Amino acid sequence: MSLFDSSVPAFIQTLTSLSAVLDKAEAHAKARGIQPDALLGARLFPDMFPLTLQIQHACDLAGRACARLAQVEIPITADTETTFAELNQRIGKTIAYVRAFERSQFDGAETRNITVDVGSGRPVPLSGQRYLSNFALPSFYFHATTAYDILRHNGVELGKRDFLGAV
Amino acid sequence: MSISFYDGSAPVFIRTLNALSAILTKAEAHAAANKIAPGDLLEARLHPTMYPLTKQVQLACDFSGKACARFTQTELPVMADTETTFAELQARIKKVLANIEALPPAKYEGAEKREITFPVGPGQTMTLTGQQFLNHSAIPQFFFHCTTAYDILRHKGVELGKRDFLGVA
Repeated sequence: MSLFDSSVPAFIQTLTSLSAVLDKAEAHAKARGIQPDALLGARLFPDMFPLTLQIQHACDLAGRACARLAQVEIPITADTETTFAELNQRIGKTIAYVRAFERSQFDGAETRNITVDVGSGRPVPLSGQRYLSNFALPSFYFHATTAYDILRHNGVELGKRDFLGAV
Repeated sequence: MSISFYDGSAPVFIRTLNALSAILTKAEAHAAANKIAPGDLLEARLHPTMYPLTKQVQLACDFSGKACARFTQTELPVMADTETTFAELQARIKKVLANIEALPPAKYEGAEKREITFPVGPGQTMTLTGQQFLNHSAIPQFFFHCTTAYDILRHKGVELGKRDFLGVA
């Protein structure tokens, strides 16, 4: 088994779903005369990130996780998106980036030392396996789900199938 | 060293179930400190058509416990959804953790290639390899319900951070 199997297909699947979820949100806003910003800037609590940042974080986590596991340069993307179209472009670029990885680039990734700040305020060294299982995947799903939850909270008609996407 | 299927499944569930338990402990303390009826959090939803906190926790337990049973070809745990208090939800998490921890890693061997048939709706099933089932159903479903439980509590004002979700001390 390779960590490729536990990462690349999972990221592509959920990023693809997320893009379709945003399409539904944009259509919902349009049909009801809701300003797109009302959804893009929506938060579940004043000190939580808004929808736009949840999407940006999900994209970053997927791209960076693959880069770290494959030991290539970490992609840096400026957080400039302000519209649904721009967020969908960002997701599209992330999917293309993740899809371009070859399985062989992940050979031995499970034991590679990856040093990241997982939220404790200081970087800690983790094996590739722990980095993916304990940090990258949970964080990725955390932001993807919260994006979905923000939209559901705001009345966008979505179901869990939209989140899971086509298997 | 190569990784086993076990490494990418059971420990992921165990870690986040423990985090969920700690999150519920904070939520219960928050309710007590702010004189909020526990039911106000346990029955809270992000939208009238979404499941409340209690059901989110029950589903997180089911998706993880059943996935591990499917991977190890052991009997599926069946639990009645009877919990109505924080203490009962904690007991349920504890039980699913005990179930998962009782399954030896050796039983996961070859699970990535075994076909797994699971329900995807009323009267419908789907068959995937263990690896596909893990990536495209078990893990996303599990994190979906854990995250939504967290999001409900954050929305209700419980002081939590992503570190609580990640289980970072």
